[in-house]
Amino acid sequence: MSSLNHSLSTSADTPLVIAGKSFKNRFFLGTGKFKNKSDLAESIRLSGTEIVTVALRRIDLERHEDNILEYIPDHVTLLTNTSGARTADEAVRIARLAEASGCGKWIKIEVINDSKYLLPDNQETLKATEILAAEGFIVLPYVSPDLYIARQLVKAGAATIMPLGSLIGSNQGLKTRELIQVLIEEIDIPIVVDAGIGAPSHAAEAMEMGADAVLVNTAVATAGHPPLLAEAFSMATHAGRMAYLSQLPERKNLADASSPLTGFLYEQ
Amino acid sequence: MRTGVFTHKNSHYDTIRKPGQKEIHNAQTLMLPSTPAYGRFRNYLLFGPNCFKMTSMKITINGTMREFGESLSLNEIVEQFCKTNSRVIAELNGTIVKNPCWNDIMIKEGDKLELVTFVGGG
Repeated sequence: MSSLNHSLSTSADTPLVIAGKSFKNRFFLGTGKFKNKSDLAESIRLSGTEIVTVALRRIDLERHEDNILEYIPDHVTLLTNTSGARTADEAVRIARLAEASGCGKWIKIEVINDSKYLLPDNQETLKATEILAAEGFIVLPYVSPDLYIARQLVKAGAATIMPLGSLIGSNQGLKTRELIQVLIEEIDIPIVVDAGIGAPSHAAEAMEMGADAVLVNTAVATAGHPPLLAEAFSMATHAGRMAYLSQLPERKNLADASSPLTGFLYEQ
Repeated sequence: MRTGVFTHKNSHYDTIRKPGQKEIHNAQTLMLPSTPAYGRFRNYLLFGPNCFKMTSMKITINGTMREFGESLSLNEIVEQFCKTNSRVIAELNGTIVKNPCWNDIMIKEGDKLELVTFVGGG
């Protein structure tokens, strides 16, 4: 049965393509907040994720720490975020530093200057996207879901749009559901739902709506058993994708019997 | 000194310049040796024996002022502070310096150095 399911879902789907690169797994994993790096490595392995995010920070000159990249297999695409950037210029600087490491040109633009809600600054994100896409970076901008900014980002050369589901790290799920749905309907490049996804059911919901992928970090990293949840997220993401491809029937307000309404035993 | 005192006829300049930044030439492409010892030798040629009399040099690394008793190459600084240099990215006075050039760059008084690397992030 499972092999039938597998063959059905894989033959019905096409890989996710971002900047010419194909991905079978639509679950992206963030690498922050893991209590230990072995949990991270196991989460990557069990989820089968093909894209993970990392951040760039000053080296702690007093302590020699293991580098996170040692726990990420070579076949996994590194997506460096620009966290810490408060302006477009700071995001551009971080992107160029990341590129200098030789770890690729995949950049998740994240420009935040509000420390209470950690909401992305869409305007600065657009500026950074314009500059970096022109320099040949593969730019995945993280934004508040807004149709106009999404259209401008497409024009600027963004590879995907990453709308937030709810506040970063809040585990609240898809509070912006209707706005994300608009982006899914209207934007032709991949939509990757990022931030706030706190349970596999949220990931499945995003994928059922037609999102192309989801990115999860906090929920997995802060779970009691991160690798188990990473695998559950990956399965839910896949299940949501299969459901979307199956062309889910519409939701109705009234009952609609599942069993035939004729041939009852008491009929005369 | 970093901006091309030593040039080579018909040399191919492999610049690592980003828009708006100063050029730094990769000495390896100029067919010059690339070692700290050579950097000191070059300093000696340029500035004479006084270059070895420097008593201390203050530079800022990752926002903290540090004092060094001798002239050091960028590579020596990275080796001193970082467990491995394979994932280290260096930015000297606002300009990214790629790893192959680290031996050619002698750190000087007042330099501002950023050493960054990858960490977990979402």
